[in-house]
Amino acid sequence: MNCQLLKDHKERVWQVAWHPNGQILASCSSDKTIKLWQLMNDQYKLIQTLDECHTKSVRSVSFSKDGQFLASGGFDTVVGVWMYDGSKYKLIQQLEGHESEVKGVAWSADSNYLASCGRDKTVWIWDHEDLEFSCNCVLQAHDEDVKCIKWKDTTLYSGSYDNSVIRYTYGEDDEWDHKQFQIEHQSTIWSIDIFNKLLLTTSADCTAKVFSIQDGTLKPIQTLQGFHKEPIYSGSFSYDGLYFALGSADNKISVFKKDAIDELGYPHYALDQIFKDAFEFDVNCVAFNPKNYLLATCSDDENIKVFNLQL
Amino acid sequence: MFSSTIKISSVSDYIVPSQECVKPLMRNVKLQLDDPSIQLKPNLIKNQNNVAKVSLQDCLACSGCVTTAETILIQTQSLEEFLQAIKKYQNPAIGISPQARASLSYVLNYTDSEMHSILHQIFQEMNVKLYDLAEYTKIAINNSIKEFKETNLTPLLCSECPGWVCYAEKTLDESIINHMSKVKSPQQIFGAIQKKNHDYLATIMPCYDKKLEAVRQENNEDINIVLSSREIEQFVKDYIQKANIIPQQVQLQTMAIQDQEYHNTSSNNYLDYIIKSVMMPNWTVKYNIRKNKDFIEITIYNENMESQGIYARVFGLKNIANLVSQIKTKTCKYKYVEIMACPLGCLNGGGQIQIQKNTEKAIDLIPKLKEIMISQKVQIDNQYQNEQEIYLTQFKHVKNENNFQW
Repeated sequence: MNCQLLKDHKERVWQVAWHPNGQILASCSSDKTIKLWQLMNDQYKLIQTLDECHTKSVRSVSFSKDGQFLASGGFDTVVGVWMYDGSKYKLIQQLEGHESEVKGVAWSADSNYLASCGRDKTVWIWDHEDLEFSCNCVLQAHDEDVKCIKWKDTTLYSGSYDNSVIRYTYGEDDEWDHKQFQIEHQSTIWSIDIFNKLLLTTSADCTAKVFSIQDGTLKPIQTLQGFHKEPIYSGSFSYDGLYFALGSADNKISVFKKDAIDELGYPHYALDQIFKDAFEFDVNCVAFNPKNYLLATCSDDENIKVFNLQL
Repeated sequence: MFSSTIKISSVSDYIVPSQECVKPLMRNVKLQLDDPSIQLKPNLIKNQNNVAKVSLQDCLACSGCVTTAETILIQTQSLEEFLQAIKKYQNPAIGISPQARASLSYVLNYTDSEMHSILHQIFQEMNVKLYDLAEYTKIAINNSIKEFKETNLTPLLCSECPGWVCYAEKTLDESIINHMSKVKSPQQIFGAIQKKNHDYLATIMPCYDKKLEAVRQENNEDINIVLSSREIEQFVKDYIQKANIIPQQVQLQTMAIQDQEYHNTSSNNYLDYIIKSVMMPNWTVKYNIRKNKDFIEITIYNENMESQGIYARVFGLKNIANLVSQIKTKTCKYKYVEIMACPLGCLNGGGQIQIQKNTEKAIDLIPKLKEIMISQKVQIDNQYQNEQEIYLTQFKHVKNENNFQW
């Protein structure tokens, strides 16, 4: 199996995120930096280190769908917004408002909204006009630390230390309405990923669950249990929904492949492979490439690895 | 490698620092005591069960779990605690904020004046003297006007709201905290004045964060306990039923003004009085809604329509965040800003009695509460008196020495 090692961070790497063109990978770390890696002649080359925004760990990083913006969220409570100027990403604004550590940042599909979430239990939605970002809304629907956020078009989902998922939709009365889902995870929800109408959650209860988004609810389809012995920090669908991967504190990465579709049209996923000892320590994030079957992963052991599932 | 998540959720008699608490370990105590610049020292005491106790001051100094702080508050500042305490004191008193009274009046279906007379009778039977905080609001406003006229700071930021104060101290640096008004809130002015006459002081407020304000070190426990309108609703209701209290008409005074469209009684009209104090004959006022109705800009013009300054009223965290961003980028053009953390202001405070969401939305409820605050009242004359004492407090950036967080 083909695997490339990307080594330059000086401390644990929290998250990796692909540029929508599938050629650039962003990573963020406790070393307070964001690094951009570009695929050139089958090799990843470090093309930029963004170190002028955060004074503490950078916990989350996300490209907008058009690639124009990059957002970063740090334990220094700051959300950084970076813009591509034709050659580099440049810091254009530092959004302040969170009361404590920012845990997640994410762009809506139309790039009009940036969401951030964190330990202050809130989700902030930011909008922008003439490249000037300002706060659109502060949502405090969770009872605890909000660990992750994920957009599906212009609907936002968040997962929390309170074991629940909350969905936010922009209502008729110009307010963000929310609905909470108790989805039977026994512990913190660490990640949410969405492919079409499928929603994948991973949890500190060592399970992952697949749901179907329908009629405004989350219908459980499959629970993945027994594959990991420690919290599963991250889950990611491949661009076509054929695979999803899970990364866990047990240092392993597991990959599941769609092997059947039931009579109701719901897919079933089966274990395809497990990368044992993928890393020396916790796997913090797994992220499938938006164009192919490259799987970017990162860990507490300071390393980033990109696996090619086709080889 | 850090161990996987251990979730401590049950809170019994002891406050168990949650996983997120930044002061869960004794080693932090040592660290901090060695640093004289940090004044809010944690007071962690290990008991036999080896569980750390966290004081409210610790929680104020921490940006972590609100749950812990809330739990301590409920334990130490509850209605039960108040009812127990007043038996032990000779001469207790309680002050009610006009916003909290409006909430009670509306929900229990009395006029504001009837509600005040009912509360007066209830507390009288319990040997507690009832005060209307309107009189102390007047002092806070007059102090603010004096401060505004003497300061060189622009903008001067109203600091009555403890939600905003907590937020600012934890998340903003000194460059912004230095802009905050030093005038004590009506609650604390009430405490500073009436502690001479009473041995125990309570307040009824529209806001849970007023409890945090009361326990701030510089306030010297002037106010012993803060109850929210929501916390006393059931008690008042039950008392009226069993004691056969007859509501009476009493003449109430108010600082609330609502004669101009830009006026807003929700949070004590600080801005309106500041503007009034600088207006000259033939000057005019224009207001402008920025982004939403909780962010209002008011510009004063002289008789030649030349701008004499811009002021703002900013309610709610999202608008506060945008204001702070303006101040940081030095694009803020306001002279004075009335800031409150709750959307729609104090009448919509976190301690107010909740109306079932489906039956009445806050946006419809608040105008009714405003009407209650204004109606059948005698306007307090706020003529500034030079001999008036100035009541000042202090704010500072709270350093948050963070250890590792997930």
